[in-house]
Amino acid sequence: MIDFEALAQAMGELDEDTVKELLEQVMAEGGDDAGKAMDACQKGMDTVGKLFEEGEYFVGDLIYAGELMTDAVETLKDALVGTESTGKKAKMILCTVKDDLHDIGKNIVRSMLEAGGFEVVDLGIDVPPQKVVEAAKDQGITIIALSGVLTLALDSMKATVRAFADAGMRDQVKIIIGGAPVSEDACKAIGADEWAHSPQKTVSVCRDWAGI
Amino acid sequence: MPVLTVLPDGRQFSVPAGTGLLKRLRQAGFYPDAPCGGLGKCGKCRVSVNGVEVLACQTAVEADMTVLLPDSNGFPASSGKLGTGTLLAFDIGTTTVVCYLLSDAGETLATASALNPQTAFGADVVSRIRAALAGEGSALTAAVRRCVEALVCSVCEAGSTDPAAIRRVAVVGNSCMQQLFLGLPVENLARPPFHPLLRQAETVACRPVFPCCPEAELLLVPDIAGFLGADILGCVLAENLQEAEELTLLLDIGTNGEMVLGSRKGLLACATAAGPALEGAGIRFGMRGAAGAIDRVWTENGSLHFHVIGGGEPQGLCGSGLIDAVAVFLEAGQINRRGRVASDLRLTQRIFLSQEDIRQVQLAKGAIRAGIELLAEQMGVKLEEIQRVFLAGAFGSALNPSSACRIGLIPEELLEKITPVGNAAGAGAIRLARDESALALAQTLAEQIRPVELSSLPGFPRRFAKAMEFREAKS
Repeated sequence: MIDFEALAQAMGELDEDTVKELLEQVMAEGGDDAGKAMDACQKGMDTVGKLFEEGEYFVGDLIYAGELMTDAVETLKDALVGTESTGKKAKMILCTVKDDLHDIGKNIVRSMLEAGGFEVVDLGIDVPPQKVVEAAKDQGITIIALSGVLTLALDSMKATVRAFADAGMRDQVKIIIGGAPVSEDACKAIGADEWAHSPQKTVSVCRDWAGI
Repeated sequence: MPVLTVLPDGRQFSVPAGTGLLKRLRQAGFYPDAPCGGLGKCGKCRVSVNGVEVLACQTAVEADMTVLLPDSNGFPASSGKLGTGTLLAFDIGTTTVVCYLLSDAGETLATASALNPQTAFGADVVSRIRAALAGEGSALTAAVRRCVEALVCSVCEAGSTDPAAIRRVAVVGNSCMQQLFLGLPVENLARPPFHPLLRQAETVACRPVFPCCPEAELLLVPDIAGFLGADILGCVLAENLQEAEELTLLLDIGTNGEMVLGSRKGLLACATAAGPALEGAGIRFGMRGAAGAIDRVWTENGSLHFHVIGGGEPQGLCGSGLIDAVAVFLEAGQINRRGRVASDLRLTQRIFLSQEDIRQVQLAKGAIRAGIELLAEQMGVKLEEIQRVFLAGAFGSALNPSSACRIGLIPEELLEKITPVGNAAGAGAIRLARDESALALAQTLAEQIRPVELSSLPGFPRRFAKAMEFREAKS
């Protein structure tokens, strides 16, 4: 059996070689510990988020962490089917809004949200408001995270919030906006429920909403 | 209505109460530097109002007001020799506009340059596009045309030429600069898929664009892609990359980082969202390479030295000084691999680099470095196979290559292959003005150079992340 503490620590330190080695060992041993290994990786991601908020880590480190997490899931995926991870999963929607093609920030947030216990329905980039509303309606999802990098994204975020209102669903969903251009003022003007510059805040707000 | 008095030239304007000061100044043809585009973030549009320092963008004109502008507001600097010119070439950069007066034979008679007055609307193209979409499009067009006219007058005076005698004008610039100069909408640059508007090389009459050269024809140079403009095409033309035997990387590190890699066997190009940090914008003590800027930093026997443009007390750091400083602090072990600093990095009692400054440098150099690596990968070559690196642009020429390599902006294995080539875009415009066949060649190149959209490549995020890191000092 591998040392899960060491795995969590290696993930937190973005030590790719050690993470890879430990995960391969889990699989070599039959994969029974895949669920526990995933939990350890998620714990490591928490550390990454914290270090980012403290200023120790930067965007590049977050991107790298997201990549490591994706690779970890890839390595463990055969064994993960069937085993139970300890946390319970809540479903939510994430996308980059219309007229914005940036996906790096969104993908970082996705891996942090997944690590934080969410099943994330990622609608991709340049997503029109109607598509977000439909996905929420069809899948009964009530937590929506909208990402954007361009100042123009603020208009699309506003249009998306309005589309929920037009569909008569505004009271049923919680909406958080994130990315460089958002602010307290933008949040008010857009009519969103919350805003975030860091993935860590997005995760904690959404967990709050989901009660996990 | 309140009256606004603008010093040092003493002009007066009446202003509806509540008008934003920056906006009114721009309308009146004054262009205070405002890299953030008037968002109140960068603190650079500082003017003195009734003796108190304020930010023009955050100040409304409520009562009579006397504004003292800092000097050097866009007066062209020119140099020249005698002779009659008939050709003009322009490089309209996001930051600087350069004009060349050429003789019939293509000899340069006079040059003049000025700060692009659109800097009052923001330092980078994104803020210009934002301003245009917010209804300032015609103000942006008017601003750059005024500047161009002033430069025409300036070179014509220096070259004893009647502007009416000019017969051909060639203009290069990035897509946004070209479109704003021509008075075209820029919506195509605001939203995906960012298709270029100018696809066809054309010759049109100059008169509607700038009436001071009524007899001239204006050459319209096509863009390669939305963010790969006629300026980078001009660089290719100037250096004849399409005929190069050696595998060449041409880097134009301006406000946008654009690059071309290839040889006569084919050319690839990409644009990177480097932002203006490497030119000093968005950096706390950043400034342009003007008098008072620290432009070089080095250590001698363990102690820090720097050079100030024009001598005297340093006011801030320009791009080349910034990159030197980061290289020096890296070598001193004061910045770790992830770009973390323990405390502010001091150059003088007053001037320092903050953690946030280092982060901005990381984003910019990471974007450019990732672009270099991915272009090489797309071409199927290793970095060390690149035989020549041409650094274009004013910044590229001022940059110390070993510092650029030390901070990882350019791969260290390419250090010995770097050659600064000056204002290659401007040289391209000159070639277009004097060589009748060059416009057709520009059209061919615009079609043949393959644009690479970096963010769509699967390897981009990891490459970008890695490229933001630094190499720590060997201890």
